[in-house]
Amino acid sequence: MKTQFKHFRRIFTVTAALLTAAIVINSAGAYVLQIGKLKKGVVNQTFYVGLDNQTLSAQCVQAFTDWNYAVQNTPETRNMGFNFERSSRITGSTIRCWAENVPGVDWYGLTRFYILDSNWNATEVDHYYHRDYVDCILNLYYYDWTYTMPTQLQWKSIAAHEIGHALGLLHTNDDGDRGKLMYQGFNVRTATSATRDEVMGIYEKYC
Amino acid sequence: MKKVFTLILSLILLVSICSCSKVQEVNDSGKTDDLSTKTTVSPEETKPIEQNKDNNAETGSDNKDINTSSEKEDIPDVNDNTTVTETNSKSDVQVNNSVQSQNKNFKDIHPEALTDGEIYFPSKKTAIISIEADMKVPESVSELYSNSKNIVVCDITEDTKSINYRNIVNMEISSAKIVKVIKGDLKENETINIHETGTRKEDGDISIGGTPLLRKNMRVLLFLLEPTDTIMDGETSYGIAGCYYGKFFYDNGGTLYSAADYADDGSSKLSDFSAPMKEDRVLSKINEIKLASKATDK
Repeated sequence: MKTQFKHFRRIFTVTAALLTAAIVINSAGAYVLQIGKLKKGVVNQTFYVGLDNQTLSAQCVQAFTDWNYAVQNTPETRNMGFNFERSSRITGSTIRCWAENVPGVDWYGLTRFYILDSNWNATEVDHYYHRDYVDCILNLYYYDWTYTMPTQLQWKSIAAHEIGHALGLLHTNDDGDRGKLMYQGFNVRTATSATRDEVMGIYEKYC
Repeated sequence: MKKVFTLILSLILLVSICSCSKVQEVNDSGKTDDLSTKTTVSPEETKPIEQNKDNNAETGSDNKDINTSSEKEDIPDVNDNTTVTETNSKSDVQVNNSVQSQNKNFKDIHPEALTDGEIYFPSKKTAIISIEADMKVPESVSELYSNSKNIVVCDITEDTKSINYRNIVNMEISSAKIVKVIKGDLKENETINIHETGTRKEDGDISIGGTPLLRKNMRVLLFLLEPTDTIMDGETSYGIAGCYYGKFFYDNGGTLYSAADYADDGSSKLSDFSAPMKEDRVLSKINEIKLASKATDK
């Protein structure tokens, strides 16, 4: 009886250790996924930047370049085919970036999701839906040519953060996640482009 | 020794399971049809596109390389349609951990609002849709204090109206009667307009962070930004500092709750307002901040 109990305890210990290891590895990702994602996926897609402000426009383009670089240079996602190229066409572009002057609201970037019906009518939906295209809006009201706040790098961070939403990521708001792009608050997060964590979120979402 | 080891392993297992739960369950069957509550809006409502096209034409600035006319040749342009349908409802979607139900009406979801003469205190169970936004997050009440032009306690007297601001975002306007002035030049009993990004709907608000929007009969402590006359087209209105961070709900017992506590994405909490507080404690805390700020100014 005693030997049997010892044997059972040994099996339990090994199982517990294996389970622990598996769960720890799985839970290492801080990313939080939306229910919906881009219907067309992330392989060879296009983005459109419709900003009159040249500096903000450049930051948006850089944000996409950084996303491409991050996903294309992570071993697990290297072969995904993830690529967003700038397009001169509004329609057909999966992600579109705009800027608008909205005073007195205290948000700097916003993401809106749309689906198209068979007659190409656009319907706005929330992040629970798979979407045909996404608008990322930067609030031009807070654009300051002196770059006291947000700085140029922070504008890029805001654009990259909104692109993260467009791709299907939600905020990560644990205090330990301040180094992640999807941490809410450009003034408190340190990341200005996608980290490995966000890249793995995209991997889980689209692979 | 073995017993201890087994115990430690079990504890690690338990902790791991808890920490793992923060990664949201993914449901890949995101729904794309059967949308209800569709509202037909005018073609001008596709302004992000139209407006920027205009701007490009006027300024000829940074998008010179973009040929917006050629795109219409092979792909139907959504902006050329005479009607564009817009909805903010997810009524048919089964959402994890959500109490969304299209059959519920306002009274089902907001039973707290039924009692006449009492403060309407929003429920955390209210079905709410979150707008994804990035902002300058205040880390403390002190930071909110310095970011605000006015700080007031007020009663919401009316859900005034909805505005589709420049066809970019929906705004809800509320009338607020000021009960107490803590900072700024507003007067007691004065009525002001408050604007918030989002949409008030019968079956749940659509708002930044999924936090409740202002509703009639609420009593709130608000940290307000500089007034603007742009949102209401000539009429003055005030925005809330830090989106929802500068909003605190009163319950009927005089306790204040930070709107950030309602955020569905587990937003960061204000370091010096980590739990609900009684009004007198909050006011004395703000008073301390006020005195400290005056001392610093000197």
